[in-house]
Amino acid sequence: MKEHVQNFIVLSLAYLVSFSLTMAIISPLQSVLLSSVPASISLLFLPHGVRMIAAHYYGWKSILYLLPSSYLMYIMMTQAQGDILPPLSPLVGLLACYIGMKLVTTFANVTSKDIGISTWKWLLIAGFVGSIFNGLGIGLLQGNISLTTQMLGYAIGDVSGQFALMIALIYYFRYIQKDV
Amino acid sequence: MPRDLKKLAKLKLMVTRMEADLGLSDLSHLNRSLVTAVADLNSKRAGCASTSDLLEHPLLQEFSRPSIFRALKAMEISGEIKKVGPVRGYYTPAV
Repeated sequence: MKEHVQNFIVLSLAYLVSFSLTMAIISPLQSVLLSSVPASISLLFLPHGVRMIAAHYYGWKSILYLLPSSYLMYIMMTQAQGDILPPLSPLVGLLACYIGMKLVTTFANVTSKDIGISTWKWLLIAGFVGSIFNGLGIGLLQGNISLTTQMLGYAIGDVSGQFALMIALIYYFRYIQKDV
Repeated sequence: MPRDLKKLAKLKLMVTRMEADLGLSDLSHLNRSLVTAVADLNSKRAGCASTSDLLEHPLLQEFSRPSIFRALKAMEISGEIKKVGPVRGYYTPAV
């Protein structure tokens, strides 16, 4: 039980911090530097990295761990910007990440125990697949399933956000190693 | 090793690989292979990697025995790996 509480706290914090960073720093910068890109598309969506890493290490449990923080951010975003996404979209997003991860890791025969050279690359591919599923799932909820440029925009933002988060992890581990 | 720590070690190893692949690493090739081999053996053999197993690990076959011993010593001092147990020659990654 203690382990689940710890996982829940760590993953929730990671999700909330990455989401806050995206909304407070990346999105305003994007709207200034790339004003032609719609505000609804974040070109560096860091929380996707948290979702994918959680799905890789915790499997289906990652959905339960991240659901409360996903809904918290959804409620805050809805209050700030209005009803942009359907109420089930946080759940669909987490499910899509898990399914994307499951599909790609099964295909590539990569498990959370693997430390091979390509694991991180497969994680990014799974992130892309998960993002496409997420777009399709939200489209299904909105009654409009099609591969639109907006969906591609979400996928680019999700994967670049995941990549950026993994780079941030490199420097985080370097930092704590120096600190010990 | 607790399960959480194992997951953290795997995550660290994955990003270490990524760091190396992207050319962001300042670790030598031998050090990287050694850390990975220690972690690999660590997950297979009851939480520690012995020197004899390390010398036979596929990732370290391209290096000479003296180089491996020197790297082990240097990495132990720098805190990247640490000795475990009362007997000499057993290592674990220092996460």
